[in-house]
Amino acid sequence: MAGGLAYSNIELSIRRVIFKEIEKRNYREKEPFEVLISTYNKLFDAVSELRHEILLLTIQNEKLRQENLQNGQGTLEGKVTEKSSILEQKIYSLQEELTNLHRRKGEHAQQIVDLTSKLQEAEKNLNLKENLLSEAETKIIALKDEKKQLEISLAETEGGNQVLRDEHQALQIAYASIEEKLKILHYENIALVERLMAYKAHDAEILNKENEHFVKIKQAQMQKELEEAASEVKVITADRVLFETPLLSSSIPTKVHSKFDAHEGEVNALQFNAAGRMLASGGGDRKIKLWDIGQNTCSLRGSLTGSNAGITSVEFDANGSLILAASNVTNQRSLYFWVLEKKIPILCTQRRTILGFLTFK
Amino acid sequence: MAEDREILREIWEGRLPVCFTLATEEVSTPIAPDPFYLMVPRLTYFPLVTDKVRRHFVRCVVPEKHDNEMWLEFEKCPLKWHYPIGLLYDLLVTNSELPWQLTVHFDKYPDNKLLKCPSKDVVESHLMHSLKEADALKHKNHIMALMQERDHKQLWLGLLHDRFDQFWSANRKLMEHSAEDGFRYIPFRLYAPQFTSKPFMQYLVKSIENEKRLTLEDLLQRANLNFESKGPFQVVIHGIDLPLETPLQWISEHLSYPDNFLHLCIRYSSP
Amino acid sequence: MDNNPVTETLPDSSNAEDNEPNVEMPSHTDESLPAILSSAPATPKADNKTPKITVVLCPVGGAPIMRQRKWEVDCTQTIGFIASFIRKKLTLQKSDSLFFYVNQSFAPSLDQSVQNLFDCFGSDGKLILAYCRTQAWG
Repeated sequence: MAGGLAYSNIELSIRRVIFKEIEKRNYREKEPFEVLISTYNKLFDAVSELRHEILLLTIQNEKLRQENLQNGQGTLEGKVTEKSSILEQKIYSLQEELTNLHRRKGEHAQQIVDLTSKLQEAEKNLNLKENLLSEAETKIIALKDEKKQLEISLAETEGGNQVLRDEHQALQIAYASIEEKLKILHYENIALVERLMAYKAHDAEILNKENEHFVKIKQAQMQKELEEAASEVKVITADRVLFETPLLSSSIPTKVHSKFDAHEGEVNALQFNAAGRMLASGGGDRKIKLWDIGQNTCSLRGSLTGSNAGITSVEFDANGSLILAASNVTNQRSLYFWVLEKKIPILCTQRRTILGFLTFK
Repeated sequence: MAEDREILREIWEGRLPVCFTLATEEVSTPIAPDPFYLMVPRLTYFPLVTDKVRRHFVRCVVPEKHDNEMWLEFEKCPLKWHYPIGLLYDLLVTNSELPWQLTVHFDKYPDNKLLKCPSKDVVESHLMHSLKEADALKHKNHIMALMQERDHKQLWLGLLHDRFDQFWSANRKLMEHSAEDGFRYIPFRLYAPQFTSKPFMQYLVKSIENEKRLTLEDLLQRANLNFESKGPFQVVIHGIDLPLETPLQWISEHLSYPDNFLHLCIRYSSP
Repeated sequence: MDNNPVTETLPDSSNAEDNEPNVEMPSHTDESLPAILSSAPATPKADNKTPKITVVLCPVGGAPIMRQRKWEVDCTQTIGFIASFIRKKLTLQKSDSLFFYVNQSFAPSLDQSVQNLFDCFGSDGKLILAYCRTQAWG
């Protein structure tokens, strides 16, 4: 700041010198001309303004002169023409105003029409909106009623739920108590069963003992009888044995019942049927012959043919209606089925090995 | 701080009488227009004060040139509009014939010698950038950068409308400096047309060196040019001769042009 | 002047192109230039004896980047000369705007000489000019 820069005396003198120089310069350059040029500028401006006014006036003058010529009036009636021209001018201006006003009136009427139409549109919109609003309100009321209904039903269902829950709880409690009872009964049952078993075992032991006792007694009796029987001797005849069922008797045959020629060749297989009345014999003559076995006689019932080679094995089935026979040829080892009514084999198979004995199962 | 308001005021009020005449070859009306006289301020720029001149003369040229840019000429030399009027006078006019006779042209704008000035905004921009350059030298551009747009406008409008108070209320901020130190460098331009072919010289000169306040003489010495070789000379600014012992800081604060530069002319006494 | 911040904010210019040879800006251009007052002779033609100043051009904002940024300019040339040179290099039209700034603060007048600007605002032996298509700093 300037407080720090204190100007010394030398500098102040310099400043004075400079100030004087400035004054000199002004004296030289400014003062002689200042007033003069400012006055000149003023005059110049005034002149240009006046020139401008003159221009305007001449223009006006020209206009007026032209109007004068148009009216065709002489200079004597100059004043009258002046007045009439003035009046005419006024009329003209008034006519212009009138046309202006008419035009504006037309514009305003147009505006009014526009505005009324806009107003009608706005009213229509307003009505629409009001309708929408009332519809919306009715909807709201309906929805509110629905809502109430739903709330009521909801409350009811909740009540029902609550009741169910209570029942469920009660049932659960009952179930629990019954379960417990069941358990108790179960244990009791087990205990009782055990006791029963114990009793039964006891009874069984007793029975066993009685049985043993009885058996002993019986055995003792038997022994007695056997000893008594052994002391007796009895003769058993062969005839009696033959005409009893083979299953019950087990005596060895000592006499030939009958003897006859069954086949032309060797006889390879023999078989009784289940009833024991018929005998089937198979031989090297390739036939199977059926014999009825009577009391004392054997008669030929029939012969079954069809095999290609000697019959090696014969078997009846359980019903006695089918006969199965096997035959043996070097290249053909066959099985034959005969249905007894038909006497012709119905099935043949070939086997590699010699078929030995077959049985129906 | 520029305290000496009297000096500041006197400098601000400096005026020059100028007579504007339309170039004879461009007159197209039968009667040549009257020359136009005007008192122009020394501190301002020609485009800011020549509106009336233009209006007066433009009626008298051919209509095609009515929109052309007006340019001024003194003794065949086109005047650079971006120099302050006072500087132009100090530089060009040696015979002190007043009023200053200038010729007005509308035709053949010398593009190779003059910059274009289509509007007052160009002048405003020029002023602002000169102020920034000066502030860059004085304060590293701190103060101009901190100043608000409003203050920038004050500087411009104060100059435009010739309002001393409005201008200096903003300009005094640019003249501030820290105590004891003065400006970092003095913003100045040294014009010596009779000595060198350069348009002007500008170099770094501090205001205080080794605790001594530098004077005008020191500034001239720093140029390393022997000005005295051409004879006795004077340093002229604002139309006054400056004593060589004047401190630079004081000169910069009080005698700067509105763009905050010292435009110093070296004028030789002998022709 | 405190010039270090200037170089710091322009990292590319100093590092990337230190190896490039500085190119001399030819002093003849097609367009005519604003010259000094006619009372002094016109800008002298470049000869090898006039000292040259290194000028570094840095683009700002959306300005197109020039490949060659360092130029040697005659000290007597003006900013206007550099401006027209760059206009040619960037193929700008006359109507296109181009602004120059020194120290990122002010725009020098077009007839200001490179010598003066370098003396007052140069740093590290170079003068750094920022150029821009729009007004960057007023």
